[in-house]
Amino acid sequence: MMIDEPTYSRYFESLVHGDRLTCLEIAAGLVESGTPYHVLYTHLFQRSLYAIGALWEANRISVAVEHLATAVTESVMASLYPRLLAIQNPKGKRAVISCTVNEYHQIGARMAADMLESCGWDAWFLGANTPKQDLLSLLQEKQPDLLGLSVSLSDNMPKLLELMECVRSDFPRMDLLVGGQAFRWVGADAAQSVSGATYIPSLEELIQSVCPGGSE
Amino acid sequence: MRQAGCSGPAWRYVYEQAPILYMHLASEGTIIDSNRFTSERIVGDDQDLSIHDLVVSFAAPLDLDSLRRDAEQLHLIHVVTRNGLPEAFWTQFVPSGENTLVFGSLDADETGRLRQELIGLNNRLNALTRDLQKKNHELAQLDQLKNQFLGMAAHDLRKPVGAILSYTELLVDEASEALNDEQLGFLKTIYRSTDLMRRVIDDFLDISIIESGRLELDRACTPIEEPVERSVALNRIQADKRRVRLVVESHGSPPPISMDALKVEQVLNNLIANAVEHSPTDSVVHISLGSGPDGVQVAVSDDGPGIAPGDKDRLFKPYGAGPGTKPSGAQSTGLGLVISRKIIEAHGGALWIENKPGAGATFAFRLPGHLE
Repeated sequence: MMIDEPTYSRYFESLVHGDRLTCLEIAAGLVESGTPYHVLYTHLFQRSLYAIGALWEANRISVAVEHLATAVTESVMASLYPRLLAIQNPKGKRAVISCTVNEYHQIGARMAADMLESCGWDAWFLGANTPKQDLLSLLQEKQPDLLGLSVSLSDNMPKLLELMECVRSDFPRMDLLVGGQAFRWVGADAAQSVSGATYIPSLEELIQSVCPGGSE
Repeated sequence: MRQAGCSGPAWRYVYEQAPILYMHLASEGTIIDSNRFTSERIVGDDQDLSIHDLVVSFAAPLDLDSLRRDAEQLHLIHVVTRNGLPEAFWTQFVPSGENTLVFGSLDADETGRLRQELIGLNNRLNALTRDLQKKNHELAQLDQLKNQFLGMAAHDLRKPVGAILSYTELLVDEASEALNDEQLGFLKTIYRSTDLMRRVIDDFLDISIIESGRLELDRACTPIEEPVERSVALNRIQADKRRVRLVVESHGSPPPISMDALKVEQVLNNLIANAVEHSPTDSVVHISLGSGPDGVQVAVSDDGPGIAPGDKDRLFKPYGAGPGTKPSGAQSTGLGLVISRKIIEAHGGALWIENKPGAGATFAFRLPGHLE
């Protein structure tokens, strides 16, 4: 099931103009008409944010518009999240998703956490700029099956690698997934330097990786 | 924008494009010229506006002469913008004969810090909102599970407790001659305790059904007097023991309405029994019936101590009042009013308290008048 182009275009136009209510109305309408969450996240949220990013990189919109579009998308996701939680397909698996310290771009990580949730996982999302010690304490408490780390700025890559080494040493059996826009610049190999870590390039591949049967 | 006084590309840029504050002021402060940025953002179409009308002055008013004397100095001023929010500008007041030229720029560092802070706060808010939503969902699931267990336990206990109650009653009736007073006392204690247990189980079963959204009404068109009369008859013995009179007052003749008469009777039993419990000896409990365009209304009033203001809301929260002992010493689960309100709400009606602390309480409910 895909999202038709007129609907996508209307959503995108509203997003560029920071029209939160229309964006929410369109996204909620799609959910009500049975659009699966993974389609909503990949073909509406992710696609529109990538398009916004491309406009920003081409100096066609200001950084303020890009920030506003991100804030609107997160707000729409927050409004629809309780309905996503109501999907009953528990897999008995737990995940923690987080950004590294100094990393303020959290929307990709949030999408990953929500997608895991739609696949029946119990996913905790720690958000942007999470101190290392806070993350390690939570891992100790929750003992998740999987830790997902997101990094958008390549400057934060050293901190990410340091954190991954720490986690690998304290939790040798925990699955470790990494992703984010920073890997576009530094390459996927950076992730492989930490033993057992897997680079996940997109939401679609995350879903394929943790939920081969697909999400709701 | 007003008439430009200068020409050349630099001035044209300042007039047409630059995001800077520029105003040309007459000697007393009236704005006689401004660039596009200032016109659109601050001045608007107002004629004869003065700088004094625009600048936010918390203490002394703007002193133009003093600012002109310090022409090289940057002064922080706050200007009311057309969107209603004041904005901070670093400004210079440059003398031009008797007039003054005002140049100003927004504090870019401050705006940047503000934006960064807003992004950080928004991130935090979103993460916390998600966390809260997830916890709410977990709590709702736990609550559902609790109701399920409560319902199962109550249902399974009801039968054996009923058997104990029946056989104890039988023993008290049939074998009392063969027992001495002490043994008979034991049996009566068993009976009273088991009866309390049965009422607790009934309350738990009711609340688990209500909270899981499975409350079903067996409606029929019934005059409100019927459940009222049955309930008054049931509570009369207890009322007589406490020397409390039950007085039914009917205002007009309420029409029969669609209701589950047994469930409405359960509500009335609860309200009348509570009123009797909290009434002083030799007092009256009034049960008044009336009808209006909204339906039928019943009010049960007592002369007891009333309800403390802080307790009013707790009475209607499941387990909010907690188990307790009534004035007569009888045990209570504290669920009766919660169940009563839910039953009335399931009928589309409302149940409320009209309270006078220290001078009695009135519990009233209204049932919508759907005639069948």
